[in-house]
Amino acid sequence: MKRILVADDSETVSMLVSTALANAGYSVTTVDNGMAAFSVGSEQDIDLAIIDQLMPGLLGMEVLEKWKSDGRDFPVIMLSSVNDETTIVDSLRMGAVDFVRKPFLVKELTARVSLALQRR
Amino acid sequence: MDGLTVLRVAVTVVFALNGLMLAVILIVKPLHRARDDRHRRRRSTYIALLSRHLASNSGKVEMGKKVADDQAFLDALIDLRSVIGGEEAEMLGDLVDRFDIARKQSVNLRRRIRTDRRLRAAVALAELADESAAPTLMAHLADNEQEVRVQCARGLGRMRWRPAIAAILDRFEVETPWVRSRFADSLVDYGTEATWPLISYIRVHHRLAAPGVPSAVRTLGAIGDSEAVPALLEVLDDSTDAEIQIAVVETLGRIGGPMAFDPVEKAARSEDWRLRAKAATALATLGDVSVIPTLALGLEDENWWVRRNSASSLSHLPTGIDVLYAALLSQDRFARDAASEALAEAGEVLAARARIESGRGEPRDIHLVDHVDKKLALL
Repeated sequence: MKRILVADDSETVSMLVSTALANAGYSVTTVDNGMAAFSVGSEQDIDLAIIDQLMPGLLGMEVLEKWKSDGRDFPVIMLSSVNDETTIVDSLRMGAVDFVRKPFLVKELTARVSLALQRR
Repeated sequence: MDGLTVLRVAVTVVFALNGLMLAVILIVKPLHRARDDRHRRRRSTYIALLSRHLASNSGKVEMGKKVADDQAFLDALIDLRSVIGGEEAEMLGDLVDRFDIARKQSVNLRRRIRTDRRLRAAVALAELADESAAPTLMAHLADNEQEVRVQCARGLGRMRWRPAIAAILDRFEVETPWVRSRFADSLVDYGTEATWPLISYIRVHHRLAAPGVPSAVRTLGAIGDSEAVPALLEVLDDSTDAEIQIAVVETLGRIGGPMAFDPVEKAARSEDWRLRAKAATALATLGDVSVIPTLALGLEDENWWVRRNSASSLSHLPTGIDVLYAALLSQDRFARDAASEALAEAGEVLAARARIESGRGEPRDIHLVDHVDKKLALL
């Protein structure tokens, strides 16, 4: 069973996404801040991470940057409510495989997760 | 009673009252905290249930109708509504209908007691209700509670209920600035549908220098409809009120387009420093390099804000950075300072130091770093 990390400080988003992914047959770990996201991604066997851009502790892009420096190569999907092209471009340049803006369709996010895992 | 006795009684009463207040705080605070914790747990439970409902897409609802009376359920619905879109948001809308939430919250809103309940009802209607709640929201645009009025306007804007545009604009003159700006935000949700009602409002009211006019003008800027530009130019020519003129210049900069260029540039030479300062910023948002000479002049303006805004605008324009570097050699100390501050904000000081350290520094880099170091030494 593929393992997915969901990092978002909003309980609503975490629960929504983790429920949908669990329903789709994935094993989900949730955290609510950047430091915890970095730790879990570094220390555990993760197949894909979905991280929010704005979190307490480390920002989503900072977590992504640290994972890349550590050689962690699982796909990362960035979630953000910021509707800013620079943020999107920066995230993709830094190695995120996809960028999903809030509000989003949970079904669409699940499909993007499936596609990202297939491509891996 | 002698004076001492009176004093003793007074001190006793004061201590007794303080003791009572302390007892109330020690009892009431934990009770509130416990109530808030229970609310948070119920909300989390509802979010989990609703998430399962959305994920299963079965249409079957696991919750009894009584949940619709629970504020925690409404909070969960509102939270979810803010993060999902499309057909999943419609599924939540189906739940709102199934549990008759709009009607129940409309009843709560109409009640005269419990302001907190009325306000929560207004928020729920603003976030969740469909057009069937529009008449209720319209009726409460003039509510006694300002936050209720704001939520009603917000809800009507989310629904894009056209008849509300005129009603919201009618409130501009009587509302406080804070409420007026929240009303203006809700008009932005209408997009270009609100353009002509706003233009009509501005045309009628600008001659009276009505306080709502600058908000209405800025709302046109937020909407960004270029159809508003001719009307804004008329107002700029016609109005003698500085606040209105400033709002128009700002909005012309925001909307942009060829017709906006000349009037904004003219405003950069106004006798009023506030208009010059606003025009200096607006010229950058117009994004045309032909404004660079005007902004370069602005670096030597007598007013600090004009200099600052001109320098900042130059730092955002192609080749504007070159003008700022050139201004470091100006005879005018204030122009040099404005230029160096804008270059610092644009990251040029760090970049210049890096170039110098790596042996690729140009004379202008050395000049900039020297200027900044001298200023720091004076602090």
